[in-house]
This record gives sequence, C-alpha cells and structure tokens, in this order.
Amino acid sequence: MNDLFRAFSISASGMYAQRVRMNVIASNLANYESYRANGEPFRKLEVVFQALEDPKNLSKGEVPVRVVEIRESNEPFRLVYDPTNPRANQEGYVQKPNVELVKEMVDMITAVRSYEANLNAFSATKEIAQRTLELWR
Amino acid sequence: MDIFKGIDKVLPHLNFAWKRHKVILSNIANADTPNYRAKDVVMEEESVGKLKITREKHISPKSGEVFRVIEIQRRLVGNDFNNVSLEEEMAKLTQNRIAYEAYMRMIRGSVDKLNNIIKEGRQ
Repeated sequence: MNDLFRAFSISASGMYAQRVRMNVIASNLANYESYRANGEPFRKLEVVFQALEDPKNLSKGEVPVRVVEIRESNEPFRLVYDPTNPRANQEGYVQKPNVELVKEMVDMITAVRSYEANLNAFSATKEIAQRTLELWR
Repeated sequence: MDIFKGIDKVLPHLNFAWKRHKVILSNIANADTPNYRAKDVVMEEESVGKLKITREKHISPKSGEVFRVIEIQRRLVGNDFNNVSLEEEMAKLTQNRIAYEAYMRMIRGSVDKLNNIIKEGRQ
C-alpha cells in the first residue's frame, strides 16, 4: 500500500516542481521593469531541478524530482538608450533587468505542458489503484 | 495450492507492469531535469522460468530481483543533456495501463472461479 502512495508522490513531485517554476516565471515577468532598493536592476530568477537518484530508490524504479535551489541569473542587463531617464549613465544608456520576454513565455508553455503530463500520469495511477481495489468486491 | 495457480502465473507480470508504471512516472516527473537519462525496466527471462525450488532449504528469489532498471540509450533530445521523450512516455503509460488492466481481468476471472467453487460447495 505504501508503494502505491509513493507512486502518487512521484507525479506530485513533478507537479510541484513545475508549479515552483511557474511562480518564478510569474515573478520574472512581474519584475520586467523593476529595480531593487539599492538601485540595481532586478536579476532574473532561475530554478534548478535535480533528479533524486539514490540507488535504493533507483532499484525500485522511483526517481522523484526536487527543486534544489532558486538562483539569480548572471546574464548581462539589457541596455536601453534613454538619455532623459534619471538612471541613465554618461553615454545615455539605462540598465534594465535581464528578463527576456520571449524566453519566459517559452518557459511558461513548457512548464504548463509538463504539469499536464504529470497530471495525466497521476490519473493513470489512480485508475490502476481503482482496478486493484475492484478485486476486493 | 493448485487452485491459485492461475493467479500465481499472472502475478509476476502484474508486478512488472506496476514497476514499469513507476519508472514511467519518474521519467515524466524528470522531463525537465538537466542530465537526467530516461529509464525503463526489463524482465530477466532466465530468472523467471528456470529457477525452481526443489528442496526445502533453497532460498526463494526475492520478487524484486527479476526486474532490472536500465537507462535508455538514445541521442540527446534537448540541449540540457536530458533524453526523455515525453510523447514516448505518454504512449508507454497508456500501453502499460491497458496491460495492467488485462492482467487484473485475468486475476478477476480466477477469483470468480474460486467464488463459484465456494458457493457451490455451500449448497
């Protein structure tokens, strides 16, 4: 029985990871034009996924996924020419956050699709469990 | 016992289908994990059929030992060194689920038979 619940938790771990990713994408999009309190532009956040492949789980065929960290991207900031902006430097360029809209949208679509795939797998497990329980009747 | 023979024959296949289901779940969950290699289970044929317990002191093989988790060798799909193909995993998931259902029907048939025997004996 415990085995069954662990199977559910594998799909749940996938869904959770994708949801964290969605949160991060939402934060990135929301902060597309924002600055920090110290005047630095907002840095894009990235999630890091890791497969939990310890040999004990692996022999059972169970490899859940985990979000190990959410880190700040080191990509260069966007430079926009806008001499009248109070944040502009000597040459008239303004530093903007390193969030790229297209990348974030693509990432969002992938996250949604992966979430759906996990959800499908989850309901397949549910059906299998129901078939097994039918033996009881 | 002899009347449970039908169930005993299906049981290894059922265990295999369940284990494969878990491996497919893991692959889907890790579809976006960098450096993850897709996995599958294989049943080791020789250990299923040949090992028989002929004496009392023989050790019976553990149920988990007949299956082996392998990594699928395939060209890299994405540039994050992850080779899970989500379409293939979804196809395998459906196929495996139907196989599981078929095995369950077989067991159900054996159980019905046993129920009939018990019922007739009561009369």
